[in-house]
Amino acid sequence: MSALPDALLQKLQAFDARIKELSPRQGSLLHVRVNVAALKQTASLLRDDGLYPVFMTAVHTDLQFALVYQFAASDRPLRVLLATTADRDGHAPSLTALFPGMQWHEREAHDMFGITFEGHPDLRPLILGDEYHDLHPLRKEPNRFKTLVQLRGDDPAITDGEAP
Amino acid sequence: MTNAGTETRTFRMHVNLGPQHPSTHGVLHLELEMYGEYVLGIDPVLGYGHRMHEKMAETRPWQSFLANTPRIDYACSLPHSHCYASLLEQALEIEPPPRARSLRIVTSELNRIASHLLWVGAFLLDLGAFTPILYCFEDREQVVDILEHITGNRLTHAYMCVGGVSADADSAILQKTREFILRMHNRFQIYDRLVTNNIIFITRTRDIGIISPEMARAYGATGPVLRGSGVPGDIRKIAPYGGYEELKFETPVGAKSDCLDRYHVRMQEMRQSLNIIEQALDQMPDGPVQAKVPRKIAPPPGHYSFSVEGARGDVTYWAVSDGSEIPYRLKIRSACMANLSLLPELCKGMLLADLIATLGSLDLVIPEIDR
Amino acid sequence: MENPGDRHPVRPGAGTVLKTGTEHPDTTQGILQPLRLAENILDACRANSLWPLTFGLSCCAIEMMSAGMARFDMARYGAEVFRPSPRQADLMIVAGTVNKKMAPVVQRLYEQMAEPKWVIALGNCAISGGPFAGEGNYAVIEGVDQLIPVDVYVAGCPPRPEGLLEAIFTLQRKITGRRHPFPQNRHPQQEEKK
Repeated sequence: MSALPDALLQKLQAFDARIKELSPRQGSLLHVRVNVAALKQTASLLRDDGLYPVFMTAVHTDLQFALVYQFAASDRPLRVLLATTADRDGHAPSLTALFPGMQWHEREAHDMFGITFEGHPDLRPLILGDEYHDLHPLRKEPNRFKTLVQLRGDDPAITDGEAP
Repeated sequence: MTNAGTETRTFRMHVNLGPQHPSTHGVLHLELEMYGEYVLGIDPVLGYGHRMHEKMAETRPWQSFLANTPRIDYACSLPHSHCYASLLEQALEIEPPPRARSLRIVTSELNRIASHLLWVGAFLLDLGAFTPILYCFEDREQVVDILEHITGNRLTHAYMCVGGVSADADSAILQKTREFILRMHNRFQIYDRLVTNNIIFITRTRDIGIISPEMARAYGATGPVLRGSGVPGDIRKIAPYGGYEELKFETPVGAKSDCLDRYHVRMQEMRQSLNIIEQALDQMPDGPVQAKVPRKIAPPPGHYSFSVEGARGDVTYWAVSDGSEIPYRLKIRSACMANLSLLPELCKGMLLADLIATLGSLDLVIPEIDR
Repeated sequence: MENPGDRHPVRPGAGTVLKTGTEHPDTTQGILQPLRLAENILDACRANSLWPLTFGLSCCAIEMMSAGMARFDMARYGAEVFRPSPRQADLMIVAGTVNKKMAPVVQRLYEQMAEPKWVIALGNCAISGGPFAGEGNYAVIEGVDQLIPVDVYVAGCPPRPEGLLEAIFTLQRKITGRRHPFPQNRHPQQEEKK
């Protein structure tokens, strides 16, 4: 648990982030929720701290798409799960300029969910073929939606509004 | 464009490498922009191996996905199964028994050795050497024999289950594993004579495909690609899981970040895996191999994450549960995808032969990228 | 492992039906008899030296490679020379899952192979989509025989390399009528299966 960097925590607080320290079986996991407007600054904080991008994905909930990014440190047992929500029409800023490794993850999220990343250099389909790339297969049917509250479980410390 | 005096003409060409091609990566399609023999740029086209794993996870019960995990990265499938089973155990707060933990370590490390042997053979086949792959596959068959005896399958093992492993290993096969360790330590001499000190191999791989640590980190490259660049990042050491915290082993790193270093890192990792297996066999207690698991696997609502060190790098699974028996979302982080994503930037100005060497040294399994 | 194509009609849209290598109708008489003999000799040569195309798509590719390596050794039966170019191959071993993006590639490669040519569908995915077929499938072609005619099906996920060897024997019997076209390939303890 000594992997949690207090300096990083303090800087993250400046972005109105809701932070929760989880203690999984391995290492430590910091769950940070921010508004989509603060996404780029928060990500650049993590980059300056030397973390590498693990993945970027989305979850289709009843309101909109929840975007989830995970970053990890290669020299200490720290992982940061950065969560936010895309806006109403499924747009979000692209983090490719900060982390080149995000380029393909964002292309895949665009394929699977139809989210548009503003500032992405090359938002072509990555995985799906040309004929069926409008399928967006990981979107849920409306009768299978769950709300964020249903997905969050009993977690009263982090309240309303944003991603899981 | 005519070269005055020599009458050679060099063309700019668009060449397709794949999706069907002689090397053994599977269905990788690279669109190359070439100027003569030099690569100006590449554009990987993915999706030829897309098998809808993440969508399948949303339509089947949690534990059924353990039939999918071996097919994601089939060359080293047990770490994927380990990751998913551990994710569910973490969510349900189940502890696998100690014997199961040891068996998981033994089989995962054997699988890592088999995967690296496959890589060495395939890499050398890409470079044009036809002999080493025969030796590598012979050693691999020894490993696969042991794994087949324990897990029941030669390739898609599916050995891990929630709460432990699906079958015990008898003392005869564990004794055979010890004999394999001794045999394998001797076999490295063959590889050293045939490959490691081979001048052609060294010339093809030294100072080729140099990946700086900053570039590796920016793209999220992990595993031997990151360790070949000098960064000792290994999840088994940094954030140990499943019994690795009790074992002593080293993390080999490279010095020059070229293809030759990545080869050395993988050869050393095989030796370290043999050490790990020996320690796990020495420590293996008796006892059950499966913990008591609820009849219905339905993790409480929330999200769960688990990471393991696969043969190719950081394998992370992230799942969202809505409390039911079917996952709401499962994200599989593929180690190869991050490793391949740095190739477009890395390859500019390379010779085509060097591109093949670099591509081989990244150790790609395309269906893991496409999932 | 019998070829069900012998009993079922080929599905429409499965490409050109060329049942090459099957038993020739014995209508040659008299002056045309030597042609039948020549055809038999050629069939035996083709069966004993099948050149597969390197076409590993996913997991079954590893077992196909194992079958070509020292322990299982397809070279004993003539099928060792894997050719990367379809122009030089006469056997396409579809080892792995064919998905919709890959389907036109499979068809084009099949069309580029010269006659006579044969196809082995290795593994459950190539037979019927395997574990990925079913409800909610949007990307996997359920069986490569929806695209090209298949001669031998090898079940398994993945099948053992011996399964692929058995497929080669079955194909050799399909081509020549005999399980081992040449006597030296016969297993010393096995009865000749007609």
